[in-house]
Amino acid sequence: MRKIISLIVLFFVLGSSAVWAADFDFDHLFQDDLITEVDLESGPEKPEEALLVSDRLEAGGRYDFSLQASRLYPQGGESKDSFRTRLGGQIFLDARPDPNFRVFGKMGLDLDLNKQGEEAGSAWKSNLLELFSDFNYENKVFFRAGKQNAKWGVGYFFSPADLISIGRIDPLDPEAEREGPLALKIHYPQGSNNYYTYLLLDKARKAEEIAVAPKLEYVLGRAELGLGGFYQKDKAPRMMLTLSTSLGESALFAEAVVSKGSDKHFFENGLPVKKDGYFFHATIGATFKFEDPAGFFDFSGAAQYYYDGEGTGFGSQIFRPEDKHNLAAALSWNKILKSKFSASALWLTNLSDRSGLVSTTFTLPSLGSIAPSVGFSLNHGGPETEFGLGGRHKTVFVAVTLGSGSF
Amino acid sequence: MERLRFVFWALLALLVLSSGVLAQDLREIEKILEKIDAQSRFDDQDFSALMTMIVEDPEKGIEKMVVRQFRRDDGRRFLLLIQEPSTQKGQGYLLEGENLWFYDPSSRKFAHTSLKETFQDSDARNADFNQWTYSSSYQVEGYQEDVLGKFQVYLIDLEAVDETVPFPFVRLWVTQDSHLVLKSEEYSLTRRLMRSSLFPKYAQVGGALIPTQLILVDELVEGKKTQIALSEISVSKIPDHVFTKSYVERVSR
Repeated sequence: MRKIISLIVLFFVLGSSAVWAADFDFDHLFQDDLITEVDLESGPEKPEEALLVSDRLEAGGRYDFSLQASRLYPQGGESKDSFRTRLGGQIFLDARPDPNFRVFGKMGLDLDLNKQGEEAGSAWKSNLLELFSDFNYENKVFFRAGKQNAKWGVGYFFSPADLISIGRIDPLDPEAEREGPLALKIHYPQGSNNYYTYLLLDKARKAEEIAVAPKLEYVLGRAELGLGGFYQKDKAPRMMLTLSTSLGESALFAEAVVSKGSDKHFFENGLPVKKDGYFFHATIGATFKFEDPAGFFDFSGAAQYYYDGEGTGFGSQIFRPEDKHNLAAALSWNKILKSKFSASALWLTNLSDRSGLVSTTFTLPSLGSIAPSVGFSLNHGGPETEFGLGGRHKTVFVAVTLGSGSF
Repeated sequence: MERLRFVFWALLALLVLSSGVLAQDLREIEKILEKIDAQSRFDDQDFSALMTMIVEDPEKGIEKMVVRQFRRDDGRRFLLLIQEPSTQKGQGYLLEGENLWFYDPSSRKFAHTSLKETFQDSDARNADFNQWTYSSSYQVEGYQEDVLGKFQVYLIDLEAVDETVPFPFVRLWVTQDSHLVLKSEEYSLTRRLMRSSLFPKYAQVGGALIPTQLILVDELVEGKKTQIALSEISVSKIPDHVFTKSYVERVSR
């Protein structure tokens, strides 16, 4: 039945003249004349403009529902079971009445029950992810005004050069969406190069508190250089440099940031201290893919080193204001030996205090839209280190996502 | 002894003569490759088309993708925008010279990627949507005459001379009269057959001859293949701003 439906779909998609690849009768395939006539007027007159307009409001989004049961084994303590239900999603609306004007909005909705017995209603969280309009000046200067995702950096696990996003990368979930700023973006593309200016309005209660962040992207051979800055009254001014390129099937990236002073609060021996010097951040890394010709070893991964000149801390509090060296590496083995199993591992470490975190996940074959996985994680490091602060522990978990996907 | 000497010199002369003829023949084949590249190139025009891709995977079943392609060979640019399926709508590939970026609308981030990479789990590589560069990226290893269907063809073996192409060895079936590529087989470094590509239909579009139907067969996974059909073909001028990151951001959701 599935095959019949598929063939019907193909028939309508490609037309009766199409030759289906399943039966390669070369004599038949190459018996007709090769050159066919095409109607050059069959499509829209200006396809590039047709893509920018729609006569109706387009809606879409994402739905996520997952369950996770885990057992925590703290060192020297009793094991503790927990159960977590996550229900969430995103909904977006996209209105394009005119090629030169568009309004886009996206909302996020999350229910996270990580305590047994908590009432569902109390754990609902909704937030505005994006709400902006696009317009331009004679298709030369492009504007985006409103709350928008705007990422500057090129790093995967760490991105100190992203001077303007409100959300930071979670190294445990580096591809998750980051909250962007409320801003006016002015973009002037010129050939392969791009010039941007952002006016950032999130914390501006007076006109003089508006932050300004210019950036340029310059293509140099096979690489792209980015140079940007950030200035806001009473904040530490910053400059950043990024580099991205590709080598074979790997993407390489690097970032460097220097700031005059810091917006963080520093503590030494529990007492606040003031630091006004220059702070440096630098990172370098790569993402890669590899698949052997036979398809048994389908790997993808990322590795990144990060030097943090501000030190170790949490949020805006720095408790150990010494140079910090971080390393993160992830490796996924997809379709292990051509099976329906996949595995991934993540290692995140603070090389300076020798603490870290290892997490592995084994993805089992999906049953339709039911996707189970099992995993194991552990941390290492002393009680006063970045990853060992809550004590050393090991965790095993079983998780399943149910009917999740985009629409 | 005299006879032996005669045979030796005769063989040597034959060898020199045949290698000269072979070199001359290979030069002719190189000219054919140059013609293949030239007639598939849009020198003074832009090109756009709607590509319907049917990807058949024994595990995933049959999936349909619709991709809008904008191409400008002067400056080596293209833009591929995914229209269907809805889960991937808005993803785009922007090529500018030697740089290829992939744009993901969910993260709103451009990431450097490679022409060698697979296009969206299909059997196509990103390089398949670029202009052909057989004459500059490969050198001729050898050739022979053959027949494919009703066509007299040259069967040409090529070896890559730069690292920009996805496959280091290629065998082409090229019509002897019109110099159209009917079929190619692409091999790994160990000469393992990786993919077969068939080009059964061409169209004269402006000054170029381009394949309008492509069948790409994964030779490693039995039953995995991708068929691409081009429609809504146009050579109208495409505004410069289309080949920019700002256009990709505007058109994505």
